[in-house]
Amino acid sequence: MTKVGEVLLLLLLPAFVPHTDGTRYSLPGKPTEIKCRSPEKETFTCWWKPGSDGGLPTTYALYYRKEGSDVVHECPDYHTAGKNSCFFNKNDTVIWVSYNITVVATNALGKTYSDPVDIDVVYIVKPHPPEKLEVTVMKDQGWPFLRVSWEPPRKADTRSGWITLIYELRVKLEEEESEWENHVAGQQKMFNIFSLRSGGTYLIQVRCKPDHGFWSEWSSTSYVKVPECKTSSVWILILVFSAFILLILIWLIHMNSHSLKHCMLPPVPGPKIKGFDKQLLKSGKSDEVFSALVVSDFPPTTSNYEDLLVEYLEVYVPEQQELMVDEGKDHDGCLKSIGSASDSDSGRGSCDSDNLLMDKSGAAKEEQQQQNQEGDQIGTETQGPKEAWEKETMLCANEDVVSPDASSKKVKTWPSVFSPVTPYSPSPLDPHNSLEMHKQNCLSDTQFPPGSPSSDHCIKKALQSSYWEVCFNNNQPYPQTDVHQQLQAHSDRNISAINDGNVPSNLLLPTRMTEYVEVQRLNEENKVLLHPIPSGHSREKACSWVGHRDNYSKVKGVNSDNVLLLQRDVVEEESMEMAGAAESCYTSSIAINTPKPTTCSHIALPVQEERVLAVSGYVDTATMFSLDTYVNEMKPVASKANTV
Amino acid sequence: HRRCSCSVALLQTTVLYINPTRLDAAPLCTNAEAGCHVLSLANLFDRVIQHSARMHGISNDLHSEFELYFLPSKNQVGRVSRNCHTNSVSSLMSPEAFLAPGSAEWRLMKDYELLYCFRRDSNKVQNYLKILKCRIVPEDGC
Repeated sequence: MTKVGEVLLLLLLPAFVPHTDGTRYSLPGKPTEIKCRSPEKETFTCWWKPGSDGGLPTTYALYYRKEGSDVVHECPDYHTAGKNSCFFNKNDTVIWVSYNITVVATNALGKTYSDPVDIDVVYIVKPHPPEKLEVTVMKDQGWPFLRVSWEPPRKADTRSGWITLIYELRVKLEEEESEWENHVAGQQKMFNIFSLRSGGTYLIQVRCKPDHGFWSEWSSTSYVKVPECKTSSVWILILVFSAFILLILIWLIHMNSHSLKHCMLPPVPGPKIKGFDKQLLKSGKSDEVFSALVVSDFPPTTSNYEDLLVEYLEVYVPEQQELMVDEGKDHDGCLKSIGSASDSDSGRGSCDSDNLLMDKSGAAKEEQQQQNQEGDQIGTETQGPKEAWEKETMLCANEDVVSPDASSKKVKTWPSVFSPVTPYSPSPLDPHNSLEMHKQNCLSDTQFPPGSPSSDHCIKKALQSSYWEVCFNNNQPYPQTDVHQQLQAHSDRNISAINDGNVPSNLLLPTRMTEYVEVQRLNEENKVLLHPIPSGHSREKACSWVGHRDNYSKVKGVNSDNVLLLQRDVVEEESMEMAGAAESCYTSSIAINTPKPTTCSHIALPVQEERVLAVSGYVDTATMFSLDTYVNEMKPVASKANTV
Repeated sequence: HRRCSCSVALLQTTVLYINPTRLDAAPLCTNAEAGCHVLSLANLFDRVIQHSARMHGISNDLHSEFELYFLPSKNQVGRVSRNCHTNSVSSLMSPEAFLAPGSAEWRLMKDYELLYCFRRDSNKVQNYLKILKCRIVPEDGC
């Protein structure tokens, strides 16, 4: 008995003591993820995923129930489709009928049911990939393209219309970083691909899908190589060549950039105003700008004017012509600038050539006719002086004397003025005057030591009538007092203007006169009135001219540079300063020294209290011509030449 | 009552498909008169098939949306046993018998079942038309 009991115990022990082994047996896990697929809508297969087996051998079973029937069937085929699958063949497959499928896992301890799944075969169709993929390279007017063709999967019955498939293909270059390019082909079994790269290799795949179902897998890859394009090499050559030419052009342009820039964009001349600062103007401080314009050394206080232009002014008075001292009013004699005579802002008038000419011509006529004017008229009986005056006045302003400000606009160029003088009809003056005039030459040859810098040569004003020859002579010691005023053209243009055909070359040298002329003032005809001075004062005499009434023509003196300084102010009578040795007073030089800003500028370089001369040594034309002052001075036309 | 109306509706739809005169295409030529566009049979079939495909798409959307919005909880009771009135199979027991007739849930299930059947039937129609076309007018598409 005991032996039987022991055997029983031994037999029952494993059954009762399973947990003592250390392994735990349990029910099998629930099968999950039941997936059914049909390739051609005629058969279908279901797969499941088994759970844990619980440590014990587990078996799986699939049961299904059709729609509207309670009969439970078991899977007919567990092997065809592989492990954990169930295959339904044609006989077992019914379309448009719902299947309720359940998978059961069974082990020694029990069963575990999965969740049921409802399927309808129509909606679980996933076909096989298309077959017989063929790719060919074709040409369309020289450009290659790919023609892809394929066949539907073998088992899909598309011929009877049981299944309608739509296809999709994708193309990719055989490169690492290229992407797939998808094309939907619809129900057609052929497709063209354009825009290919010459010489490239392409990969092509195709897949299909039923109208209600899942996409198939991609078919096997088909490789195709596109042939090279022959003309591409030619284009490359052309491209390289043109690039080369372009580089050369660019280099050439770069080398000549400056000259090109000059040609295309000519530089714009900027304002050349001495003392004018553009930056200051931009900064908006007008006060500073204008104060900068004011020359510090203006009026010039230094007496170093050797460098400056005109040193003296010679006024030539013909014998038979006497200058009338006109003590008329101040206003009349001055050359007026047009419209600016009364303006006393800067005291600068402009020598308007037209105005002057007109005035002169009128004055000439008037003079002849009216000789009893208030005394403003020129006393000269001849036109010569008038013309001379005219000339002188014309000489007053030259184109080069430009005042820094806008009033310089009124200063006209004088060369043109010079020429009209010549056409002046010969006055009824006797030819003697003209002869004398002709004799008058600039003393440049005789007077001036040879070798003297005569960059400025006298230009004789070729007037057919007697007139004043005004020559400005620079840097030339003028040993003689001469009535001549030698105008020296500061520019060749003036010279040429004067030296037209009327003037013989030998007439360049003015002859000297022994008369001094005291320039009183300008009459209303804008003529400089010269007052003949008794010759006793000529030569090497200190020209201490006592100022006459208005004394505009008082010669203040001659500085070392042979500049006649005339004084205007009566009060300021000063003895002339003899400059150098044997410097005679040159009455021609007129330096009017007035404190007024409207004073006519004096020729001489500014000497103490004399102003008006511009820093550059130019006589300020504007100041010359003002109503208030008398222009008794001659512009140092040659002054500019000196500085040139 | 409902089944009757549904069947009538389905029949009308089918007639609509088959009957070429209903198609809003070119006028039908009775006597092959001049200026009359005669549609080929293949073209007709294509048009009908297109209509059926559209119908099926609509029914499919209806069903899926109904399932999404009105049946969030998967009610397995009324799922499998579909007794579409068009089926020849007569069911002995329908899931709806378990529900209280007239209740809201019962009506919901009935509607769901209807949409389900509509979707299936439209699929059937489309499929049959394709088969018919390929049988009568065999083309490349078949």
